[in-house]
Amino acid sequence: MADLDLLRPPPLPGRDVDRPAVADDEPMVINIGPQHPSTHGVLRLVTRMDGERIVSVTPDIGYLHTGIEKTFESKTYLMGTTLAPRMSYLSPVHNNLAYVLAVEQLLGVEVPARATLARVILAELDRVASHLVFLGIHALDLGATSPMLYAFRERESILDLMEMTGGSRMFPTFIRPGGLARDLPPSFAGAVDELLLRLPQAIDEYERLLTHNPLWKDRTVGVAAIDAADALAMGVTGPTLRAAGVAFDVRKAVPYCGYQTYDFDVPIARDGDAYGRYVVRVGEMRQAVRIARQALERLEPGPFITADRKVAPPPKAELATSMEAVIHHFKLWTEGVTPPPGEAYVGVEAPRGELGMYVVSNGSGRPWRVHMRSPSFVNLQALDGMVRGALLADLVTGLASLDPVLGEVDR
Amino acid sequence: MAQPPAAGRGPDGPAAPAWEDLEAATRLLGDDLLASCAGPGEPTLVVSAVRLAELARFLRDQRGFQLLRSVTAVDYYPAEPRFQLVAHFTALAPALLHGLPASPDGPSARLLRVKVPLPGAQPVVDSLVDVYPTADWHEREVYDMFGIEFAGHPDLRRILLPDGYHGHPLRKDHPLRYEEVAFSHNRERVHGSKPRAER
Repeated sequence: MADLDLLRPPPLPGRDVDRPAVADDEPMVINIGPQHPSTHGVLRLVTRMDGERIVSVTPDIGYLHTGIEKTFESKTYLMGTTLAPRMSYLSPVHNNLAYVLAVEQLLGVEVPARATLARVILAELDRVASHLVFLGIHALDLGATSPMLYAFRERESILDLMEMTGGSRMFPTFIRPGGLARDLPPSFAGAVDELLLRLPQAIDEYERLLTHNPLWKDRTVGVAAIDAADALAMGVTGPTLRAAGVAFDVRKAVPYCGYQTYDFDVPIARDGDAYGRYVVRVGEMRQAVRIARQALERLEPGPFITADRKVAPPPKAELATSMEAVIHHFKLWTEGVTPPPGEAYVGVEAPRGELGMYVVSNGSGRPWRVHMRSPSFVNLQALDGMVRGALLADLVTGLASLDPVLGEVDR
Repeated sequence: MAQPPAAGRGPDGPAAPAWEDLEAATRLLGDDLLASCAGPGEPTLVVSAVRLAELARFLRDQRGFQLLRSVTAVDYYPAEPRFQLVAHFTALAPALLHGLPASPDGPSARLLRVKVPLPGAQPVVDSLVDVYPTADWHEREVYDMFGIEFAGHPDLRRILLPDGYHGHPLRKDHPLRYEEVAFSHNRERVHGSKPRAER
């Protein structure tokens, strides 16, 4: 029988010798990120642990800061429409929409019905696409690979529709002050119709994978919970607030784009935990399909952008015959639209919560100030309170259930 | 007295009877209410900095504004007072708080904007963190971007920019681009003007 000591490697010099003594009652600091797959981007979490229990979590943000609010100040309002969606790459339509609505409010311009309906359809598809990413990535974070593959299959179909409108999958920037960039392509309505028929079955499929799955429930029920009073105090909005039992949805409370004329419900849950956020988001996907269906039924041929020549450029054909059209065209592409001095705050119900655009005009062709109230930034602040006392593994659940987009947090 | 038109916001017209909120704030603040505007757009109060925290507490406790949506600032350089702190509040109908749909006759949310003019030299205002904990990160961002200080903030440090950063980039006198390109003819001047990391 060989001597076991001979098989063992010799002890390394210095190891286990110079380690500083840690007092038993002192929390251990674990650094998560900034480069870590479960942080959903570039986010650093400084976690203080007492054994396996979390004492506190301090998010360290700013790694993706691009100074986008400063950049807005040197761009014309029209350039801003392509800049706004860059903030949140999972819900670009809502960013685009909020910014355009704020500019339109400053301009006081009427938007044609067809454009508003198209905005609603695109916004609801955007919501489904964003929630699909939440679903897939959340499940992936907790160790389930297949929901991600299914969810991205449907998301791909939605991105194809986005490509059909604006030519780009991620950032179509199809919504412009006064209406849309161009008319919806003829095949768009049919393609949306086909997708809306398919989506409810696809959502059933995700629910079969997760909703009653004991492993999924073990990891999410009662995890990272926050009650309604705390959530409101922390400024939390969107599915995270509704999962705590507050039926606040900007589309119902402060309607925009005619949402008050649509028949839809606001799904809520009561426990404010990660499972509730999952249930609310799945419910929202079903409601989004309902809203998009109603908007699609109302869609009729008509103008897609306002006839106000101070806001929207004249059709190309007019440039050959009308001197006035040439002047308008020239003014719009050199100076841009010039809203009167004033300020506007427009909030929209983005997939993560209330997305607010605060735009200040001084009467020139460039905004004096643009501030984005991004829901991820505010919701992330509530993470610490949610996971105190929980296990380290629940931090991953808590963060994924907030569905933060770090581009939106850091701007 | 004829009822002035109610102000809401957004393309879909009035959503909220803002007049009562403005009147209540007028009674509370007296001369410290510098201006108020019922619309069009979001109803707005302009108050002096010393009364902001008091007003916020009043709005939350007496007027039902549970939600502080955002705190930000605008730099009107070179005008004076140079800065305006801008806070947006939302009051939710009680039914919403219990998870019920709001009644169709009343508004389900009221909005309010509060603005505070601040001087260009040493802008300081009381922190809202005690009243609205969500103000924590908003105020840190305003401090980071504008250099406005919040008295009573528990942890006022930069949030988006690195700790060693010099200046406050959303101020209008902060250059859009970081530095001039150095060539042989201006190397001394450009390099000499660079902020150095403190050792």
